[in-house]
Amino acid sequence: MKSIEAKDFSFRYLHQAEGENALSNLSFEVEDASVVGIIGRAGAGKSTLVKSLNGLVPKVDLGYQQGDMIVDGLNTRQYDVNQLARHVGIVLQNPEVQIFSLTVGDDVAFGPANLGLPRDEIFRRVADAIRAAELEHLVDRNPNDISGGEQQCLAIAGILAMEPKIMAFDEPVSMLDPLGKQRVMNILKQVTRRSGTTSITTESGADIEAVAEVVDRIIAIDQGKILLDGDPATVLQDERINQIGVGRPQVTELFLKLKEQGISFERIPITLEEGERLLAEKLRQLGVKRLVRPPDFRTQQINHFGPPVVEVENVHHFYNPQVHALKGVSFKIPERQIVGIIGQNGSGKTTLARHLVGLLKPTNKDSVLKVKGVDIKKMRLDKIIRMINYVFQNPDDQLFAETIWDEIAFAPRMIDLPEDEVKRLTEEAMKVFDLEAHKDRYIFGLDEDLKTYLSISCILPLQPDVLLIDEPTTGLDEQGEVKMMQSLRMLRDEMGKTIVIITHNMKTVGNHCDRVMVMSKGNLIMDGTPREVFAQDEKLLEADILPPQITRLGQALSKEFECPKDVLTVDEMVAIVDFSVKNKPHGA
Amino acid sequence: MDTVFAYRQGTSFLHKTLHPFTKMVVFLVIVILSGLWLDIRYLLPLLLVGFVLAYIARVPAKLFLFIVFALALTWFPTVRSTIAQARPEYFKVLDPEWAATGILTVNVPFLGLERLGLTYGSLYWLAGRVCRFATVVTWAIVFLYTTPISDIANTLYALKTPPSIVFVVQITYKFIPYMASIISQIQDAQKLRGWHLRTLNLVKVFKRSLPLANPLMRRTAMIVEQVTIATQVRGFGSGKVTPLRDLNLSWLDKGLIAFFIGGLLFAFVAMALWKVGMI
Repeated sequence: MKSIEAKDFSFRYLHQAEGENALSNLSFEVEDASVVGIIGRAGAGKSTLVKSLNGLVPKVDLGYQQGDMIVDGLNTRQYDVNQLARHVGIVLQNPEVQIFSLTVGDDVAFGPANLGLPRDEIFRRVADAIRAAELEHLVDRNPNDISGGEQQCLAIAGILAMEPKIMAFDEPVSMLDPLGKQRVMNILKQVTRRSGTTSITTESGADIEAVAEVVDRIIAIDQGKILLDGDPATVLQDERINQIGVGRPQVTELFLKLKEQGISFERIPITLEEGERLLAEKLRQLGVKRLVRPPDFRTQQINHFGPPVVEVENVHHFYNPQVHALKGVSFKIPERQIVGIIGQNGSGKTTLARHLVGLLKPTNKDSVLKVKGVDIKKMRLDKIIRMINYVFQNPDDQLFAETIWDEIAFAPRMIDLPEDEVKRLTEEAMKVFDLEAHKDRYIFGLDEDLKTYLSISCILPLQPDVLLIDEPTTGLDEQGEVKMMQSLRMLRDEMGKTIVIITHNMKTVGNHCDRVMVMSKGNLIMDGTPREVFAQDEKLLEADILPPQITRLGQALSKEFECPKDVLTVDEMVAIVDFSVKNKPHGA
Repeated sequence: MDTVFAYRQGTSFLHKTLHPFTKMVVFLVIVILSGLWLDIRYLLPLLLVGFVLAYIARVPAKLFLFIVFALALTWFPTVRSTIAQARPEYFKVLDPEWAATGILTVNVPFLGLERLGLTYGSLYWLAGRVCRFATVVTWAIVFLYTTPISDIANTLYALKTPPSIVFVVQITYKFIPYMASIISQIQDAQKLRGWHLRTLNLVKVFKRSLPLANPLMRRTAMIVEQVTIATQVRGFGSGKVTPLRDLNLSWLDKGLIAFFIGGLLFAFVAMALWKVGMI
């Protein structure tokens, strides 16, 4: 049975010019009880496709539709959104906007109660949904007091209680910490398997590994058109996947690179488990007993950091007597270091960043907060921001001007610099992310990547020595992420900046950071190089952190093959396998 | 973080024992009484009882700074109304001669204003007005601090209130703290770019409000869109909504409701017959 049929479906939003479709001539069918991943870069049309499944486009997000979308046998043209809600449920990216009640149980009941079902039926559905989403222990809790991952599971439970035939997830894990992502994707998989629901989930790249673990089909879309459609292994191996910038799971990338090195496999894996099994089999077959790093492989970057530029000692912060958000945090950051701060949602990362720029003050008196040796606790904000500055995660929190140029020139104008200096600093800032060609573009309607680059460029004219950036790679495709991190490295290498990023993207940390600090429940629990930190997989679990997939592959192979537990990149793993295969007498 | 007009879990008598419906009735009676009365001798006890309840419910004292903040924001209309109370005929209960005794008054021979300024009566009126505002806000803070919106919504559904009205109440309540955090985030993001409002030049004030107004409008539009989607996909607006709980009032609740409704009726009568609460 088919649960979804798109018949030459096209859609254009009201603000789009003719011929500039958000979706163009999509034709596909989805069988019952399947899990389909829709992948594509930000703006490719994934969310529009999800919204078309229950008539949100064109009925709520207005526009012009051509062709038909048939869901659970119903043509979406002929039904209202709330009628289709019984057939198609949607889980959005941001759990906060999907929660309406003040207990977990009541929130799950919100949907069935809206359907006017008898109370017994509502309670049955609530109990089933809560069990399926593994929220039994949280039934009476306030949703505001549970973790981001749990909130997203609650949003899923809310939809499950509607008992739809189809569930669509619009980037459901992009705002979650690594274990939160894993938990949500496991729930998605289990629900589909148990209840026979059809699931559709979208992804723009950063969490492709999590998606690959659960889907049994992938549709890759680019500029509103289907580029690839097939089983996940075939789609993710296709060269055209690079064209859409989503990237591949690290294990897939590894096997493709090993194949190029002449090591062939019966198939290319897309999940960690499969990757571990196939690689272990191949190593046994080749007689490799140990995986060792080539002697000439540099495991440490030779970086010359300067004296400490940030000094933090014994910083505590209480939001109220019950919420102790920072519990005596201490560290120093030397000049020109790139530091990643990681930790679960609510671990204190943002509270710490707010202290570093003077937006919050420690609640204890014996704390030290120094930037370039100067105590910033009593310093005025307008002085602090020229020494250390912070870019919030959501560019929409700050962008307001008409053009890119005006937006970047705003900060130097606010501090009353002469106009020729404003011009010089603005031009300099635009060069960092190659924004010169876009300087006259309107802010409204900018692509996500440009918005992210712009939000960082906006503070560069203030010439702070330290930049704190919250989730710099969210919303960026793989190429965008590379460009972002290259630009940040350039800021460090050429302008001597110290960079601190707060992120849930472990690949970014592994590939680009000199140092990683792990926060958990207001404490700094680990601090070291990414190698040192990611090697301690059990301690990381305390902070709900999972190392990058390639590190986990190394750790999984460490028991049998003594593989190093601190592998950080795909290229490093390729070098290890290649070296070990070619040097069997040494490795055996 | 505690936010004004937001619920916080607690173990107080007000949190745990009283039914939301009882709290709604009591709050409504207080609002009506505060609207009827202007005499500080009657309003002040209501305010003090409000503070006692706030103490029992362990409402953080800093939430009451909102009263000062709101009064400061509305100083201009308050002062304007106060100086307009200088004429003796405005006072029905107080001795008109005493009430009209001037502290600082001027005669304005046009627009029918005749006399403006500060008198004993206008100051008494001002005290009553401030006390009325503080009373309503204090009781509102206590009510919302101790009553989850889901309970309010369920009570309203059980009272057969139209779902659209209940939902508007529910969403407004839920998104007050959320929007407050977004506003504060936008403000912080702009402060980090050197933004400030320290100028007396009105044109500059207008221009400098744009860095707050534009992102706020954009974020609000996004949130409205997302909330619309999230509610539609959960069947909101499909028709009749099933209330999750019945009213089930205890004898204490019934007694309190009867007492307050009786009190309100008596206040009406006392006001009509003996001008109780009027000045």
